[in-house]
Amino acid sequence: GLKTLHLGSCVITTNLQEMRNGFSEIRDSVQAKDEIIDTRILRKTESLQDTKPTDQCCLLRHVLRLYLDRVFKNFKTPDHRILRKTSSLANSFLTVKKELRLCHAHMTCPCGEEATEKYSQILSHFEELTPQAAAVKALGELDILLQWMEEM
Amino acid sequence: VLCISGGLPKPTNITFLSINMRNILQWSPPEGLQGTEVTYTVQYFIYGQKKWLNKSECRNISRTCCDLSVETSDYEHQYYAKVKAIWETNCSKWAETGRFNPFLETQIGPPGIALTTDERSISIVLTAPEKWKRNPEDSSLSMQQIYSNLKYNVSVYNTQSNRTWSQCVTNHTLVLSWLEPDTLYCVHVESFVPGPPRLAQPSEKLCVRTLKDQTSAVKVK
Repeated sequence: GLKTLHLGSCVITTNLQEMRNGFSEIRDSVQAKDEIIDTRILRKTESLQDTKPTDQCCLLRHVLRLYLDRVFKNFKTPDHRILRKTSSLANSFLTVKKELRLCHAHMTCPCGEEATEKYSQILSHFEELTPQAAAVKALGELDILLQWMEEM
Repeated sequence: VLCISGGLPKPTNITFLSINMRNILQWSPPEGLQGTEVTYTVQYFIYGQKKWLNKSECRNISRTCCDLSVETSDYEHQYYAKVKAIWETNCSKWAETGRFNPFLETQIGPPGIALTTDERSISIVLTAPEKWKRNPEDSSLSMQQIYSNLKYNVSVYNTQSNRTWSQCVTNHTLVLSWLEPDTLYCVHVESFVPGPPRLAQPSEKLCVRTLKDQTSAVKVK
């Protein structure tokens, strides 16, 4: 079923369960590729649910753009099963991002200081790593991101 | 403990067995060393933090499991664990788990079930399972509080007609109506969380007999 995300005054519907099911099929394989276990990109301190509602939409929009522009694109694997799953996840992310853009157009997706600060923290964790290692780690942390979205 | 690393094969099948966030690390002895006096040492790691941590109660143990529930109780974190085998002056390399995410992986235990009956209906009251806690006197946290979308799959079996039917409920009370009087019904309930598949823990079967039909008893008189 579809899940409604309440992000401040921006309300969207997503196929979150389909994404979670899809990711759960590749989670172990993708996480096994991440050998840098002493750093984490999506940290509790920057979590979506601990962000004030008015800034949640902006933070999610920026994180989804990061995934679309620099994770799904940079993730390389010879495994076609994983590739199929990640492209399906990318399409779902694209759909969610389009809905968030509508909120942006209707002025219900403002970027306050908290969203800007948290996103810059996430980006700095991401950019501590090489592009390929960052893509692998971020993809392996999709269970965290999807969990944040589940709690919206 | 100084030992020749790699002198032994690694322990195998290292996994977390997790039920209601009671998280037990378990493994099998190294190939070919079953029965010998091998001991084991465990360490764990919180994903994103900096170093492996010892579990003092699981240093040089001979059993093949280690309760890491306390160390992995924050379910917003993910974890790794590893174990190595030691025998005399030899020890194995570490055998390591994948990333363990208690929130996604724990099995949800069955609810508590209370049944009351009359002639043609059975009332079922369910009590959500509780998250594992270190001490019995610690305050309880229901798994419902952790998983707001927790649901129950109630299966009912009519022992006379051999028919079974199931229904999925979210609330904790349920009345089964239009039943047969003086008939033994058995109920078992499974908790589940919609989303990625996870192992489930079905409840014990609980049986109750509906009362005799009072109206036919009066006619007989």
